[in-house]
Amino acid sequence: MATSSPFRIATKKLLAGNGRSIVSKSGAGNCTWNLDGMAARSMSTLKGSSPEQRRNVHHNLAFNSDPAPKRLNVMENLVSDIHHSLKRSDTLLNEMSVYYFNGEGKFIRPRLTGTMAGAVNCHLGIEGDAELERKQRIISMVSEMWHTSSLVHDDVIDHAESRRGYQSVNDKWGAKRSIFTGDYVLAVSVKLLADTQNPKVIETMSQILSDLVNGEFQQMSNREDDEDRFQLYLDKTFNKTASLMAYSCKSVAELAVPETRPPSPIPHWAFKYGENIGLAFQLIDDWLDFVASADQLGKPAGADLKLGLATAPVLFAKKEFPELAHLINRNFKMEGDVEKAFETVLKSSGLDETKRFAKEYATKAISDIKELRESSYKDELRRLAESTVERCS
Amino acid sequence: MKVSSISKQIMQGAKLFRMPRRCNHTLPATSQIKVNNWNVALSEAEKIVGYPTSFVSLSELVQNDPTDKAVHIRKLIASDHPVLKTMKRLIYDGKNNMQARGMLILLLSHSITDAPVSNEQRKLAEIVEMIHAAQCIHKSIVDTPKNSDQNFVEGLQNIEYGNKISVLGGDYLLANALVGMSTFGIPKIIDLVAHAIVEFIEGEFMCKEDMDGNKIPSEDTIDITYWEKQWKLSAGSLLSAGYESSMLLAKQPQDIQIAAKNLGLHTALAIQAYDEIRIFSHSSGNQFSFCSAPVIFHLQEDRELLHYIQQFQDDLSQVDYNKVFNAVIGGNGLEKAKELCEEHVDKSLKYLKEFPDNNGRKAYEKLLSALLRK
Repeated sequence: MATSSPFRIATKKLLAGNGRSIVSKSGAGNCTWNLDGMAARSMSTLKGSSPEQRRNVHHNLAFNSDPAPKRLNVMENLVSDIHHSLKRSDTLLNEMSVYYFNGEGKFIRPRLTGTMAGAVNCHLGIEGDAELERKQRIISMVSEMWHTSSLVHDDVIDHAESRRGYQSVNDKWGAKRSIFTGDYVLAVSVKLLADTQNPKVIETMSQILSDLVNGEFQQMSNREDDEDRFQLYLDKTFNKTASLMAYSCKSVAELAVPETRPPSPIPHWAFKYGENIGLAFQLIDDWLDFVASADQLGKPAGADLKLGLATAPVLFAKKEFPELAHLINRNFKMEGDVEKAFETVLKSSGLDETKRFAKEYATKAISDIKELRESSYKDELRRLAESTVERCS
Repeated sequence: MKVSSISKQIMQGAKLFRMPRRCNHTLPATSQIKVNNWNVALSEAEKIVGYPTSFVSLSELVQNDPTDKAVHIRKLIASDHPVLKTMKRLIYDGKNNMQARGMLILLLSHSITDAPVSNEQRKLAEIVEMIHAAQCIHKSIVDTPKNSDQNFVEGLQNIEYGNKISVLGGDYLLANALVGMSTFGIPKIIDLVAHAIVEFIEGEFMCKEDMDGNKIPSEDTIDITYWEKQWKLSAGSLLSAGYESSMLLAKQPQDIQIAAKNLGLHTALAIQAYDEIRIFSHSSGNQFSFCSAPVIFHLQEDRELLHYIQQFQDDLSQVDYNKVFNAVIGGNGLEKAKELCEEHVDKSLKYLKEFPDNNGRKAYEKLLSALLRK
């Protein structure tokens, strides 16, 4: 049973397809390793680890490979720069605010943003503009800080007890202080954003915050109709996940392009790329929530289901198994609902359909940037899009 | 949901389940006397600059509702979460008092331009009110005890639901504030306001609180410079930033910006002192903050009372409030607090003199002098 799990199949394919060794010294605290070593390490982390930890391994497989030296430095300094910006004389506030910036996040958003910046700068032939790169870096920092502050608020809302294997900030210090900590990180990052001195970019980025909140509200809503339900799911997914990536990518492009009439199409390409990759990313995340849990021998139950959330695999499965509608409508609250939904999804083609859907978005993302000049950054953007989906067979 | 419906077992094990009673002193409390000099001065100001549009965002919240917010508000009303009191204060409790910050900004902008207030200025005033509201709402969040059996306690679910809405409600307002500010096209405004939010939070982390969020007095806190620092962070900062931003919008030179900033700070402190003094102008029976100015001044000369209060630092609701109230009334704490208020009113007037002498400024002066009388 264990040898044929999707995770192991995925790793085998990755091993087969990519013979090169992988060196990664990202600020995410990962050590130097090659593919075989990574696979071996990943295998060993399977036993006894939480679904969340296994998702992290999946993500790391996708995002840690052959980074250009320049980007390495970006990631390394990112954490220390963020710490520096959050420094305050009040020791408790300081401690709480840097708690989630412990270098163990995946830093997907800064990676995306930084790579897009590189690709756009290359396309325009304006690499080496220090002031521009400083501002683009601010966007990367802000994207990560906003993501993290939303995690802090999410953890309070969900009464999460742990995150990334550690005690959650609200569990450790209480809800009220945690909310203020999230607000603090937000406020500091808004100050950084103001420092770009670019009203257009500030306006673009501010849309993200509004989307994040609306996404949370949407997550609390229900719809009766199938099509409505799926549309709500996509809207919510855009708001909660893709929006941040889309507008951040757009912003770094806006910083780079000159004012022209008609305006440059590049920010729009960047936006679409971010949007599509964000949607693909979340779809795979929802997919992983089922698969990673299934790996845990004999204990089915996805975290999303437990929170009452009907994600893409469930919504697709409902087409084949309409009885899921009742469970969805009551947010899987009744005894046995979570288990039943989980089993049904695994029986159905819901997971495959989810993956197919994600692939479509990833393909769209790649096509969105096709007119950018070829560069190693553009290659990396393509690779990121592909690996978003490839990390599951 | 009432306290009695919570299981006795939980009550013994986790005192936190009692819905906290908090004193959030801010601009004049509406629950007390309706007609006073402040209100009168405020309505006169309204006649000059019109009425700051009241919470357009919040009423939209309930009307155009693709995200079912109205459902949540109704559910929230069924719970007994402290945020309800906050929201009531902010939304329903009369336009007059709760829009004071916005009104002051409108007056200032009217004074400096001597022209009808622009839409941008109105938007700024509304944004400042939104941020203040967001801060109040986030302050209403209740810490829940750990290791509780969620199915057991219905009360806990209400608290958690109320918390959820408080978090999202505050975030919604903050997000809208930022979106609004970004349309001005002046990055410095965003920097100023964001900095004010940072300072507000620093203010929140400054003081030790009991489990209900009420401030615990100590040797540190009974120093009046501590009070001034606390309220500079918690109230002065936002108003200052609002004033300075208003001057930026009005394209004023730097000396006016600085005058506005200082005016904001001292006005906020004067109003805070006024609000705290007013608690003692009425009969006792209510809870009040032991870090408020009259109490601080009294405790400076009555260490015995300070130690008495400190005995209950885990749960200040156990303190005999009448005892403290009467002690303060009997001493000269109130008098000194009035002097403090006067000091900040005087400083405000000094900075106000840098603005043109017109109706706007006169209305502002009237508001300030209203703070000096009962």
